[in-house]
Formats: sequence, structure tokens, C-alpha cells
Amino acid sequence: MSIDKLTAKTLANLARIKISEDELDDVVENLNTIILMFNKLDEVDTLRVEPLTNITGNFLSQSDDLIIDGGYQNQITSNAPKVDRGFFVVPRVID
Amino acid sequence: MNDFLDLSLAEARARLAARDISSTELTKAYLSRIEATANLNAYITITHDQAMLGAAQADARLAKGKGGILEGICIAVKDLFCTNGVQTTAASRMLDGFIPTYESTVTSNLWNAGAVLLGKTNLDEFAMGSSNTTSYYGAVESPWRSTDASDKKRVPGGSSGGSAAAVAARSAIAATGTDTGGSIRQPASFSGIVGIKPTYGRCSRWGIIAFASSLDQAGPMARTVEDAAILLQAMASYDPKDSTSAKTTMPNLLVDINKSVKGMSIGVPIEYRIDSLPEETSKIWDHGIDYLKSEGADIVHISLPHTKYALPTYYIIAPAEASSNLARYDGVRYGLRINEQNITDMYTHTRTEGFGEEVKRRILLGTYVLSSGYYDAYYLKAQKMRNLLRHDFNQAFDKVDAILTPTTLSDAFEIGDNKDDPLKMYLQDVFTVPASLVGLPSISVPVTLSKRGLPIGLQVLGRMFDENSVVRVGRTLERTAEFKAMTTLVNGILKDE
Repeated sequence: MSIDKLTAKTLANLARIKISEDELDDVVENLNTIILMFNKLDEVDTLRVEPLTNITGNFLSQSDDLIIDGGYQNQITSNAPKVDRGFFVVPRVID
Repeated sequence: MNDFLDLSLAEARARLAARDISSTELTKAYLSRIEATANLNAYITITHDQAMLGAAQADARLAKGKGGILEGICIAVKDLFCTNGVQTTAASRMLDGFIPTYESTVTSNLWNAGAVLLGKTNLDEFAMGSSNTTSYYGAVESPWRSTDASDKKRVPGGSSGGSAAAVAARSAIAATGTDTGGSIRQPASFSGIVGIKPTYGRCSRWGIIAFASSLDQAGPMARTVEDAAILLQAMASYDPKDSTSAKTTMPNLLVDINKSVKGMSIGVPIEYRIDSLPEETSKIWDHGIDYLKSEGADIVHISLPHTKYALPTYYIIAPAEASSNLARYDGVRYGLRINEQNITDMYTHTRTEGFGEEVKRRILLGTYVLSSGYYDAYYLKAQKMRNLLRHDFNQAFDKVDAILTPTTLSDAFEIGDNKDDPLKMYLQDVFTVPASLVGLPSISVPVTLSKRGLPIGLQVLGRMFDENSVVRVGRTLERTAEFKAMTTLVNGILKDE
């Protein structure tokens, strides 16, 4: 499998990254070199193999539904590009 | 001044406890060393005042006969660990100026043990790279130069390149690193130092800027195996704030560190002797086998049949997780924002300007392998491959106690090499990704210099949670190889003085 320019543009849009027309050829070529390497996995029959999602075998722990901290709004917003009265401010999303 | 810099972490610790030296003296020596080696670009932020204050506080505790296992030891921290009140950037424009209001669990453990922060070290942007050339703050230069082209700047390896260069150049006693596919071990090998990637789950990931969460693991980088073991002991802990943190208690790594490998079975996997392995590296590996044999280990030839599929598996899993993790950088809550009238444009411009080329490439790759219609063919397939790789190792560890392999294909390349060929750069990780995908502990130990005078390391892999065997075999390699070479830069400075 490989990708074309249109697919690259769709991926970029999904990832909210802009690829300029000048960069497009290089991006597609580089991605395809790597995707070509992925195709090596087709050699292996994995029909009866379970996917591995947990490498340590530890079960994920659940915590009790309790409030254990909070009340530090100033800290949470301290790195925000734009804040107003403790809220994150973004461009208008509803007309 | 150089007397202080010559001390290993273990030696410095003993002399601090004996009140033979003070943390203030030690820290001052390292801070001036950082200044003298500033051209390497190993540090992004130097925490001079905080270091001197921390050293004074450590001295006060030591004077009362108190203190933790790293009391007064000044170390560097990879700029991927969030440090409260100290800029943390992941070497990305996206996080330039970001000041965390909390401390990562690993660094909290270090400060609780009495360690002193010298500064935050440079890395490949978001820890994605094997050369430390993708940092927004510029490439890190290795303190090593080859004998045949001594005018050419070399890479320290990556992504923990700043940490590796700092330890090798003696501008830190030791440093923390993180390893997702080899980011501790490969720079350790290139820089002539020791690096340990512990078992997945040993060190909490809480407060470490995420790259690929099922692979990311913090670990120590130091001059000796003993030093790395001491640092790891302090870094590791069970942490309820990381749901994948292991409850298994870390044994005392120093108990068996000097124990002989007599009677241990060491596996040598045939599949690691790949066609592209240079003869020089192959011979160095053979020497390592001979060292362990001469120390009484049984050498067992083993097979890890799916090894050649580890690299493509890794480069599906890691970008997939990265594309999800890095979705959080949207210009809303922290980091860069490129202002726009429209919110979608704001996201797009922020991410386009904030991320570097390699990070964007991996986000696009990750988006591709997770996208509708391709998920089964790539991501699900890679997760199944991960199971087959684990099965390979499980079978091998029925027969052997540890596995010996090269860490890297060769010694360090020049800054700028492999830059235009991402695949060639990815091939750097061929020997380190299998342990990452399966979660196994592994160490890189420097064993010799190449023909052109650059260090090369060997890698030891152990069973899950068996760091003890890893450091024991690593220490044996260190002792028998007697690697004592110092960087071209350290030699040069000593000569000048």
C-alpha cells in the first residue's frame, strides 16, 4: 500500500496540520518510504494471534470516585495563551 | 576543580556522607563545567540559583548526618520531565516558555532522595529522533570526535542526546533520560556512557511529556553501571497516578551487582546478526561474548524469529500513540497559539508552526495507521506482531537468564547525516526497539572504541522486572572490557590545564 497526494492532504487535515504545495511531494515520498517498510508485516500470518495491549500483565487499577484535590484554577490556567476570569478563551465557535 | 568532576556518583556519595567534600563545592564545579562546555548545547535551561540553594540545603542535612540516597548529588534532567516552576519544553517550539505547576513523580523521587538539579537537557523534539538534531533549540554536539575526521561534529545520539553529552562531557554526574525505542541506550552507546531502560512500569510516567504511552519509560544515564543502578533505585516507584505503574517492588540493585556471572546462561540471538551489521560491530559483539564466557557464563545460541518485524511494528505503534498524545497541543490550554479569527484555523496554524518536521511526519503516519480502513491492516496487525515478539522472548527466557546484543549498528555518525532519509534514521533503532515493544529491562554498557576512536556499547536484555540480572551482566562487561577512554573534549581540556 502507498498513499497519494490527496490522501496526504486528507491526513494533514485530520491531524490539523497544513502541508504547503511546495512540501507535498517530499512529504508523500517520505511517508511512502516508511509505509513500504510496514508492508513487510504482510509476510506474517497473524489470523489466530491476539493483539497485545498490556505488556506487564498488570490489571489497570480503579480508584474510588472521591475528590482528592482541586481548587487551583490559577495554576491550571497559568500557561494558557488567553484567560478571562479563570476561563480559557478561544475564538468564537458559535455564530 | 577537575578532582570533583573525576568522582563517580558512588564515590561522590561516599565522600559527601563522610563530609570530605560538600555538595556546594561539587555543584559549583559542575556549574562551571556546564559553562565551559556550553558549545555542546547539551542544556536547554541551567538552574544555577536553584542548584546552589539545593546544594546548601543538602549540606545542612548532611551536617546533621541525615539525607537520602542521592543527598547532595547534582544531576541533569531531560527536558521532557515536568519540573515545578522550571521551564519544560520537550525541545519543541510548541512548549517554549511552558512552566509546569507540578513536578513529575520521577523527579519528585529524586529531590526527596536529596538530589540537586543542575538544569534541563536538550533532546530531539518530543523525544522523536536518534540524533538530537530535531530540537527547536538546535542540535546537541557530542564531546567525542573521531580520529580520522576530527574537524567533523558528531551526534551524541538521541533522543536523550543532551543527557548523554552532559554525562560524557562531565557537565553532570548523571542524568535522567527517557526511552521509547532506544532513546536512552543508543545515545549511551554513542557517547561512551551507561544507560538503563528499566522494565515498562518501573518508573512512573506521570509528569513526563508523553510520546508513545505503551512504550515510554524513564531511566538513568551515568558513567558507570553502579552509578546508573543507584540513580535508577531512586527514580523507580509505584505510583497510583500512573495506571500502568508496576506494584512489583524494585529489589536493591547493588546487592548482586558485583556477583559473578558464573553459571548464568547468556543468549546470543542469531537474528541480530543482520546483513547490514558492520564487521567491526560484529567483532565487538564477539568480544563481549568472550568476556562473559571467560567469566564463567554459559553462552547459548538462541532464535528470536520475529526480530526483523520489530522495526516496522515499532514505527506503526509509536507514531499511532504519538498522533493521539500530541492532539492535546491545540493552542487552547497551554503552549503556543497562533492567533486566528476562526478556531479550526487557530488549531491548524498553531500545530503547523509549533511542531517540527519529524514530529509532523510521525503525527501524519500515526493518523494514517489509525484511520478508518487502515486500522486493521496496520495498527491491529502491529499489536498482534507485538504478541509474537513477546512469545519469542518468553521462549528464549525459558533457556537463558539474559541476552547479549549490540546496542547500535555502528559508532556515532556526523551531525547532518541521515537527515534527508527518515528511514535510514529509523534503522538506527533496529537493536533497541524489540525490548521496548515487549517491555523488557535493558542496559547499554560502553565496551571499546571503534577504529576511528569513537565509543561503542553492547546491550544486555533481561526478563521482565529482572533489572538485577541486567546490571549484574552489565557490570561484568564493564569490569572485563575495562573501558576507560575519555572524550576528545575531556582530554583536550585536561591537556590545556
